[in-house]
Amino acid sequence: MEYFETIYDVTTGETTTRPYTDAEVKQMKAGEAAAAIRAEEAAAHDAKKSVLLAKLGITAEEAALLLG
Amino acid sequence: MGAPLGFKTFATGDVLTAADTNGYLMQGVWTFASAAARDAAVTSPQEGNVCYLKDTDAVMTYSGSAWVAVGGTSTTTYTLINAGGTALSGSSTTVSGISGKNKLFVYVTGMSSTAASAYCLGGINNDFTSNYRWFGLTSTNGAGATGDGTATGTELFFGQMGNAAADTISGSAFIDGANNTGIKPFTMASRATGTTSNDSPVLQGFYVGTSTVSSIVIKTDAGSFDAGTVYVYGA
Repeated sequence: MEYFETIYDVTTGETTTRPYTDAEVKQMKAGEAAAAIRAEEAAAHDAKKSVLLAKLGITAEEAALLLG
Repeated sequence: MGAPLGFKTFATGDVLTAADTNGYLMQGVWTFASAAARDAAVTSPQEGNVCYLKDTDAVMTYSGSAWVAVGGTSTTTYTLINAGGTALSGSSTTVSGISGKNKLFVYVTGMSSTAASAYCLGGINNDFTSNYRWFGLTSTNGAGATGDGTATGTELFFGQMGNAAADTISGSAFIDGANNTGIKPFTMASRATGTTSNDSPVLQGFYVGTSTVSSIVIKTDAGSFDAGTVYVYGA
C-alpha cells in the first residue's frame, strides 16, 4: 500500500500530494497492527455476547432494556 | 504620540501647532494590521489613545499602562476557509494557508478508512506530538459514556471507526486562540456509526504549541481514507 498526505492550500487553491516518509510508513504499519487487534477484540466480544444472549434466549434489544 | 487633549473648535486664523495636531487632529481611531504593527508604530502610547486591529477585529484603548479591548464582546462571523470542503484522501489530508483566524471550527463528515477500527485524528500545524491536553467522555458502540482523557495527548481525537466497511465518523472541533502564541483551548465531539468497535468522544482541552495555527490535518492511523470531507471555518 502506498501511503501519502494530501495537502490543500487555501491561499493558492492548489492540491498536492506527498509520499509518507519511511518513519511515517513504519508508524502506519504499527497503527494498522493495533487497529487489527482492536477489530479482533471487538469481534471476539461480539461473539461472546451472541453466545450469552442465545443462552438467555433474549435479543440484544431486550438485554439493553434489562440493563437500562 | 501625544496625549489626547479632548475637543477643540478651531477659529479662522488660528495657528495649527504640533501640539494641537498631535493632541486633537491625530486622536482618531488608528488602524493597524496587528498588535505588533501597532506597537512598532506607536512606541509611547498615551492614556486615551484608540486603535483598531484588523487581524482580530479588536478596538482597543490605552489605559495608561496597557492596551485594553473595548467592550469585551464582539460579533463573531465564521466563514468557510476551504471553499466547498476538502475531500479526505490518502492517509492524511491537510488544509494549509489558514493563518490570520483566531477562532477555527473544523467539521469532519463521513470519514471512513479502508482499515477497520481505525482512528480518526486531527492535528494542529501537523503536530502529532504530546502537545494536547484533553479530558471528557467517550461512548463505545453508542452505549453509556466512560471517562477519557490524557495530559500527554498527541492529537485531536475524533474517535474510532467501527469494524464494518460502511462505518463512518463525523464530528467537529472548536479551536480558540488560533492566531495567538498562547495555548489554544478546544472542544470537540463526534459520532461514530455502527455497532461494533467504535468510539465517539466528547472532549475539552487545550493545545500547548506556541505557533499560530496555519494548517489543520485530518489523518487516520491505519489504512487510507475512502470517504469523508473536512470543512474549516474561521473567524
